[in-house]
Amino acid sequence: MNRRSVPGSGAEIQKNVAGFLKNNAAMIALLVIVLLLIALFAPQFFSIQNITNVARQASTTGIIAIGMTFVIITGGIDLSVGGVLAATGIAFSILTKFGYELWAAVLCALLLGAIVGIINGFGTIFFGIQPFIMTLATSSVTGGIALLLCDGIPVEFTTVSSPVIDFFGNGNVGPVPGPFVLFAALAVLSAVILRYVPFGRYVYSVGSSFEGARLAGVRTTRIIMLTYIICSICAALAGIVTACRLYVGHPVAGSTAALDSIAAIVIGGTSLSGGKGSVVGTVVGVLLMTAVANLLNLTGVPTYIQQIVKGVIIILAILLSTKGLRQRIKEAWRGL
Amino acid sequence: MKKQAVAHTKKFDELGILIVMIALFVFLAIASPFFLKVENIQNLLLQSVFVMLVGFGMMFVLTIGGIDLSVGSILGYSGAVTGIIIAAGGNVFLGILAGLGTGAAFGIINGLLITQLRIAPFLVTFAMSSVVRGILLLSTTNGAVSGFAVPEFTYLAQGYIIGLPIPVFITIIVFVILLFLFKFTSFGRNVTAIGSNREVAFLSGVSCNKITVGVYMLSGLLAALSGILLAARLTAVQSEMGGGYEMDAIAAAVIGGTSMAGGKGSIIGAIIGAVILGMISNGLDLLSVNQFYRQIIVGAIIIIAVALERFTSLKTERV
Repeated sequence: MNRRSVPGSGAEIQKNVAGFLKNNAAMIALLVIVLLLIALFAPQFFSIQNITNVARQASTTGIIAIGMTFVIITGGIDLSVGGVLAATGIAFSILTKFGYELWAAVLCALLLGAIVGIINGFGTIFFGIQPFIMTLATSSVTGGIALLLCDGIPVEFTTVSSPVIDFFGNGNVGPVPGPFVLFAALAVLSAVILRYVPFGRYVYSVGSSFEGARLAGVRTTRIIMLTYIICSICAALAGIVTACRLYVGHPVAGSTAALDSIAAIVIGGTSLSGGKGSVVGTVVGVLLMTAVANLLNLTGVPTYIQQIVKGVIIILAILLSTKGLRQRIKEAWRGL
Repeated sequence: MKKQAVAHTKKFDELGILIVMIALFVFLAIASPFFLKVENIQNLLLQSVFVMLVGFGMMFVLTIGGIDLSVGSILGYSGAVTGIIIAAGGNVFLGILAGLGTGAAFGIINGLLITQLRIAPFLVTFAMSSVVRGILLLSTTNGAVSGFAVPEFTYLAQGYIIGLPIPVFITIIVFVILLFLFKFTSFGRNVTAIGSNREVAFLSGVSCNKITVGVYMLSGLLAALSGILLAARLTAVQSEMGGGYEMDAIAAAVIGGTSMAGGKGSIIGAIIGAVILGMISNGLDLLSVNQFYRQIIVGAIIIIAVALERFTSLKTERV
């Protein structure tokens, strides 16, 4: 066969697939290891019911992580997602409980999320407050708002019955859970935006060099503002989904959401210093973390061991996904 | 931001945030008649020093361009180690030493993972926080660690030296040592140099890896010290002790003008930051504010304090 490949031909596709496998070899290896461990210790993992369960659990963290991916690619961080999740979940629950139309409740919750995003963006851009501190502060504020809105008592809306709430809470399309459909749709949309839409490219350019992007004519402040709004809206969606699941809005839901989603994103190869990352990586990271958590639950490992294992897995994942690991270990060995 | 670091060292950077602290102090003094009572001020200082000690270590870590999310768990576990040894009839001094050693050891492991395997500090320390919390849960499976309240140990938290609670006194000594370390030794200068530009520091012959491991060890050590003092004060170590301290410590350091991007840090700023956080919680207690408003107010004050600090520092730069 001719060595030069014709675009669109079988050889080209083969090359692309080979390239993808090579770039993500470590990630795939890790997935295989985890799946093997699961097959050895918890074969019941592979029941359709359990996999559906894992997909459902992954959805909330996943929806948040997709929004957060945008922010992290620009070099920022958003710690307020947990607070936003709680506050929007409560707002949605209260509105639904008091008989407002579903679309109005959803719109209000998303709007509340968007406002927090705007405040985050405003503080980081115009006051020059570091994103970590700005969003840590708004996380405290939104957490307080969540408690205030419901007076500290979880809001139930079990009296309301709606097929839409059922679908995004506990519903299924065939074996695929409703929230997972939302997660997958968002993932595809974000992947396309980041790759093929000018906005997505600007997100990368702002992350790799803020000053360079600005001088090249990118509206850097607008891009950063938009990423924070996207992130908060995703957190609001996660809040609504969480509330739909049990028909309860809980004021302290989502307390670990920020760190969990950030860990998943970084396991997926996105750099915290910005300019580098992908939605595919984020999705794999989220699925991996959830699968491990599920494995530990199925095998009945006590909580304290689960904590330790979680930590070790994060380090292992990073070690496997970093390039030139053997070289580094050699250097480290020599250094000792 | 990094370029400003050199210009900054010449002025009194902490002025903006100091004004915020004084304003808050005056406001609380007027708003509550109890605020200026000696017992309350002592109490305020005592509440602030635990975060302050961790904040000192965090300041070094942030200045070198890293982050340490494991301090909360290290704080809890080190306190537990000291408690377990004393409860088992061990020497108090030995127990404290073991606690400090535990903190330093976890710090060194953090540092080695970061420098030798070049993993992002955020991840290493996040994972470490999970691991250490797990170990702490493991050692408190039969309930909280307690029974170590021998008078020699609790004296650490309840005694006074020249009118100051002992933890405050210890913090002042630690402050003086760290200030000297940060401002007047090559170690301190190298920390700032690595934080502003690691490549340049490396090429100028700074042994970046050693300094980095040293900084994480210091952070672990200070977290352990805080944990031991806290254990002496609470006379029991719960499995959740120290949770959230990492965020408070980062907030204290950053309110005090330390940059998360590295290259710029201030120990005095960390003190002011921790005292501001302490005053907020103390003030809200005194004014008996509804606890649901509390989180909102804490968040708002952090934003205002940092924004004010940014404005004043921008002004002094232009002059």
